[in-house]
Amino acid sequence: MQPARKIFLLLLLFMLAFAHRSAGQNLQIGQALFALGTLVVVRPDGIEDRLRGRGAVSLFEHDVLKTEGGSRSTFELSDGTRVGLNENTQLQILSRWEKAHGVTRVLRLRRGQLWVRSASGSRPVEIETVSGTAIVNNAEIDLRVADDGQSALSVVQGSVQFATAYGWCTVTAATTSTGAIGSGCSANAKNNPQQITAWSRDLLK
Amino acid sequence: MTRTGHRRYINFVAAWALSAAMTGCADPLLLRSAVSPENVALPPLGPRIYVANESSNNVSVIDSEKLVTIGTIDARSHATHDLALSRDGKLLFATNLASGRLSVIDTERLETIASIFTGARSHVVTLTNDNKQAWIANIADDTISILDIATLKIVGALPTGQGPTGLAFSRDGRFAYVSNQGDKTVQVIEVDFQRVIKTLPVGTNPHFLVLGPDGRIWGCNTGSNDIFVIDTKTHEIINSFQVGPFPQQIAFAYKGLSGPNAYVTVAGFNKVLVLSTDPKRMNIIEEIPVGDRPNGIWANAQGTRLFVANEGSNDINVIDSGTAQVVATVAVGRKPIRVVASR
Repeated sequence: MQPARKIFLLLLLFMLAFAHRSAGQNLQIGQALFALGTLVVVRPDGIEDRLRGRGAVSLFEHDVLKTEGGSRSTFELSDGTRVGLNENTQLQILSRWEKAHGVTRVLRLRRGQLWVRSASGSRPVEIETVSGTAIVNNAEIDLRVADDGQSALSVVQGSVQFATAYGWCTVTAATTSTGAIGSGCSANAKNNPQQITAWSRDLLK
Repeated sequence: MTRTGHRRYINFVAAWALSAAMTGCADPLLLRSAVSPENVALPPLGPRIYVANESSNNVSVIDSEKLVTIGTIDARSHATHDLALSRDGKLLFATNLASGRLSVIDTERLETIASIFTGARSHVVTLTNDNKQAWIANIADDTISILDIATLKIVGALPTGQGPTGLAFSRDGRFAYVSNQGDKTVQVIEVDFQRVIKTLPVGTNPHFLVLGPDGRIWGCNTGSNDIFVIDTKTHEIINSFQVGPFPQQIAFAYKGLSGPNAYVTVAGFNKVLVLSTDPKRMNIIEEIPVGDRPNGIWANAQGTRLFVANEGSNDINVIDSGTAQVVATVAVGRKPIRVVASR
């Protein structure tokens, strides 16, 4: 067989396999790995799945993840980004598609506190709250949203863009910026990263 | 074929196949765009009408002078409902009720270039006066999402009353008005501080809101068959008027020397009602029969033509405001809801 024909056939097989895989399946975008207490995963059709202890619960677009008082959990996105949920936390897994940039993973934090460490070399992951969006790229953060919508973005490693309706801030390592409905992001204030993320430490063992 | 030519051929085949695989071989939209250079200067757009077809999940594009369809844009989403066009006419934003996503459409290339989740049952989209943000009302989340248009990122969300369905900004951009179906209210939001400064009780099932040429906010109570007018200085309702079953949307145009008049689609009558905009002497000037279940309505920039989307008959009627007659009908997709036209 001619080399050109061989290459063509090989690539055609690869393309067909790729097309088949994406045609009829609900694309898994991550896995819940561990819960101290209980992690509740609410699917878009209202069906609930639960993780207690170690496991591998598949996560899909539009899933809502919830912890109640006394429960904490961690999950990993397909690109290797790790996320921890403190107690009394609720988030939804979303995405934005752009022709120019493809799919960006978006986590909408509705209440509670998250720890996020993005995977090295992966696309940024965006964490939305009612008062702003943290764009996490090669960084480690803690983000807490209060009942009144005020968000506190603390950066542990790297630097993070904090986009609000009133403008953007760059939050650097070992600093915290807050955002609130009706105001932009505050100036960076020094923090103690170890103290802020202490709640997540035993999730990562 | 020479040895060099043969190698070139192999490289070409490999590059083509790899490029097809990477761009998604099942997606002709992406393939087409991959071969069309992004930096090609396109001719200026002529005046156009855009129609959101809810049951076709797409947007019809019509040349508003020749009244011929020049394209259909796949919204890449579900239940395309409302539309907002940027002032330069280059970007069109479309809500998609069923998926809660906002489609961003490049009107030069007639294609959807982004899809953003805003909230459950995203209903209407309105651009801030500076066109820097899009505000999207999410009925099932009781929120307004704020999208930064330059980066296409959600940069905030505002809590609203129950079931926000209509959204309009005041002429000076300082205030946003949000109608809430569940609460039967219109909230007045001070935009700079993102805070509700007043809540007005209105009728049943308040829906569409629009800024009128008189600087007032006009709205429809679809459930109580009336329209209302809000003064943007006092934030008070200064008038309401019974128009008939299921009023949907309002546009403004002239009839010769008379006007601007308000043109209201009344779905239960299959008519457009023409009203005086004088709040002290609001009366019906004339009635114009149109297609089945008229919903969206938009006037051209000159105020001489109105485009009416009939969600029952899947077409748009073009009304000549001078003679109050339908002068053309153009077929569109299934269940057209909203129509907007470029300036």
